[in-house]
Amino acid sequence: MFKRLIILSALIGMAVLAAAILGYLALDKWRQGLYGYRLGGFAKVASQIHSDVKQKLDRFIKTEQSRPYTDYYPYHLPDPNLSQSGQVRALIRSPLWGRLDHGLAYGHFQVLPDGSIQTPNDGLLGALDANTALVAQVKQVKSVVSQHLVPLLRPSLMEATAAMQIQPSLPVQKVDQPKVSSKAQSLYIDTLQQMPAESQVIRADRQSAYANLILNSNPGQVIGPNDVAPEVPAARGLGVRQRSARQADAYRQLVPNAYRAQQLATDIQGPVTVKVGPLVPIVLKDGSENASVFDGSVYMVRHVQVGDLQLFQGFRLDASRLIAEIDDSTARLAGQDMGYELSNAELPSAAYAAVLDFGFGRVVLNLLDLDPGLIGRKVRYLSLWYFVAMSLVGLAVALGLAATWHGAWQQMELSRQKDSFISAVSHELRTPLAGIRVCAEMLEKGWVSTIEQRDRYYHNIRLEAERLTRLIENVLDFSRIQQGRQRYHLVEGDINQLLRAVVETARPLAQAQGLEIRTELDQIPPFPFDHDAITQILLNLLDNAVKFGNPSRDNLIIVRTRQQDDFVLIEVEDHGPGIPEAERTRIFRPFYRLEPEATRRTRGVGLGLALVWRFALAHQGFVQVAEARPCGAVFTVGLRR
Amino acid sequence: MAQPLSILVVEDDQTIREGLADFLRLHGFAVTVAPEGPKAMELVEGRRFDVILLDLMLPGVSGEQLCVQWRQKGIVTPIIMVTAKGLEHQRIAGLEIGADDYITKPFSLEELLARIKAVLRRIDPNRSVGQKFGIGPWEIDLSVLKACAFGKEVALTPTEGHILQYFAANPNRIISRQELYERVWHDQITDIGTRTMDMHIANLRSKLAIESAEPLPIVTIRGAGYMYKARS
Repeated sequence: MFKRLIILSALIGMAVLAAAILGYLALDKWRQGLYGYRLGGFAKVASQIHSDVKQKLDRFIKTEQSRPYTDYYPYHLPDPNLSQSGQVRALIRSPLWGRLDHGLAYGHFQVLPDGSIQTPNDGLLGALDANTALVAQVKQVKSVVSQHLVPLLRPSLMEATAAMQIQPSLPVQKVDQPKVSSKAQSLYIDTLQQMPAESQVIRADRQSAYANLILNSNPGQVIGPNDVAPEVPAARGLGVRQRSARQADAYRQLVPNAYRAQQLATDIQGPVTVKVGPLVPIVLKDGSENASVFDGSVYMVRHVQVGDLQLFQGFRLDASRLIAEIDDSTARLAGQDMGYELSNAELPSAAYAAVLDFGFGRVVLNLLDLDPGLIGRKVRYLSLWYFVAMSLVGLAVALGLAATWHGAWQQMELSRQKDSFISAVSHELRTPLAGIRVCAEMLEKGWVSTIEQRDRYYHNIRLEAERLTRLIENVLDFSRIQQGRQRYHLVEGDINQLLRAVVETARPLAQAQGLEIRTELDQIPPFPFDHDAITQILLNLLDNAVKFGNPSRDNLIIVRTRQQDDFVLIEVEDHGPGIPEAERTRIFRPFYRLEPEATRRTRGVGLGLALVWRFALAHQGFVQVAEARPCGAVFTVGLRR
Repeated sequence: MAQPLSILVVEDDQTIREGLADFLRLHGFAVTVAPEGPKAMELVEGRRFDVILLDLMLPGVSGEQLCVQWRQKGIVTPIIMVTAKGLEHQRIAGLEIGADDYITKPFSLEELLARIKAVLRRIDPNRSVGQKFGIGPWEIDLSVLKACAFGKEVALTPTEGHILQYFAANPNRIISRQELYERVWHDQITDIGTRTMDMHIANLRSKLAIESAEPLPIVTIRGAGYMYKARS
């Protein structure tokens, strides 16, 4: 039974240990998961910011890409094909008039074939009431473009002009990007570099196109928005040439000499092809890059060809506005528990860094954890509960196992006691029976030769029968007590009288062992007691004294009675070897015997003192054992009066 | 002449002990009693018994311990366990540690006597050769105490007959003088006993010597005893 219990306990122990280890590992995984989830939250926000910024850029570039090339003129005549018939064609002021920043674009300009710079705000330059700050900005734009961009564009412009229809290639500069940590996630925004490669081809009215060129050729001319356009034929094919000297001069200035004669000879009526190329980024170190997150100023430039005329149109990408847009997206999309900072490089304090890569420049989006201890607190909180729960489980299992072991041990002990009891009862029944049978057979077969021998056999038969009777009485009494069937009849009587009678019954047994019983009985007034129980108490105590009282110092057993407070005390004293102190409590347990079964000197099944204990309790009394003087043991039974 | 068989009764219960002693004495046994283990140990180490009746639950030293110790010391005296332990495993255990028989209390005295006799018969090696047996060229008949070979007939004494019977029952084995003396004379060997035994062996050799024939195949093993060399 214990082997199975050991295996079961080991299995349960291992299961609990495995559960504890798995739980701990799960806790660790959960912690890692929380960090991962948190990081995933940052990554998701970064991705959303990336998408948002890309959408903004896409919208912006789409707007700029589809911007009519005429918007780059301060004024232009609308194409007659697009006007309603009969409507007076008035000059239209450029929608870019009045300020330089338009979304992410700043300072739209166009480069004419002769290298001159024209902006939609050129009309302001000669105006007396012009905003001086704005004029200064326009001049600044023109100066920077002229100084840094035109030298790059001019050769290809001249080449394209010389080759007539060939579209010039725009020089794209590569810029070394600042290094960022490899931990930072790179989010590429290709909007600025993935322009459609195909040019837009428009069939425009030649006269209007040229008129617009000529009209805007004089930057100093101040034209109001409601000025009437020069006289032009309302419809094609009339063959009317109406070109003023001023217009002709302007055109000459615009068109290179190589083509002038041809152009002048050409009928300016009819359609003209306008090709508008895609916007291409050009990164320049123009002195304004210090304010930018990029290494240079980003110019978006497109090629425009009006008939034979080659132009470049473009604007500078406003890096500060771009940053402001990113900032706006981040502020809108970042969680409440997140901070952020845009920079050139990853910040050490950043919980998550994403690089918004525009191809020609990068912005590092540093997302900051405003509550970095949150996960730690959650983990500690759950760990605490986990350890409390595991402790409770461990305690429960330990208590369960302890109870099981205790139960098993009790079962084992009970089984052992039962076996011991059966063995003892078997021995105690068989031995007197064997004695009786030997004596009876000797007598029956006539193998006894003398009278003395015959008397001795009869005497032995009686002793053995009494021994059997006591044993059976004890077993039955104990069984009745165990089953709760024992009934006590407390009848008032003289206890000394009863004790004397019992002593006389036991005297032959004692004498057979060479012992004498002496009584020292005090005067005890009658009190109620169970006669059978008291008889059993004294018989068992005397039986014990006879069994364990040898070798005796004076071969004497003393039976006393006396009164003490509310109790009547019955004492049985022997002068044998006594009872070891360690055994004085155990001897009252059922089936307990002082000596080992195989080598014990005494008879009995270990019930005598257990019965004395229970009978004493039935009289609301007690039983105790002490050392006698000078040697031996004295048992005292107290009975409440 | 052989003495009465001696029996040791080891029993702590006085009634049984006295009854058994009376009964066995009445049936011709020399009875010695021991009420506890140490006393029994002392008696067995001091002298030889033909049978031991052994109770198991004994004060001092248990019957099982006594049995084991005696067998370990080479004491081959038949032991009959007489005990209240009647369960099968207890009987088996008793027999396995060296008991020759096992009887549980309460028992019949006549049954006990029959078992004692049976054990004595069982352990008597002469039973294996019977009253008529051969040893070397000689045919021995103990019923008429005669040995015959090559038409010659020789008269034997009962002791000589028992010596030859013991040798015939234990061929090709060294038999010590002590063992031979205990088995034939049923007593502890002494110097006188040794000389008596050697004289009997010498007498047998001269009686059964035949010219031009093989000698009696009982040889002396120096320092050990005798051996009957039987033909394989």
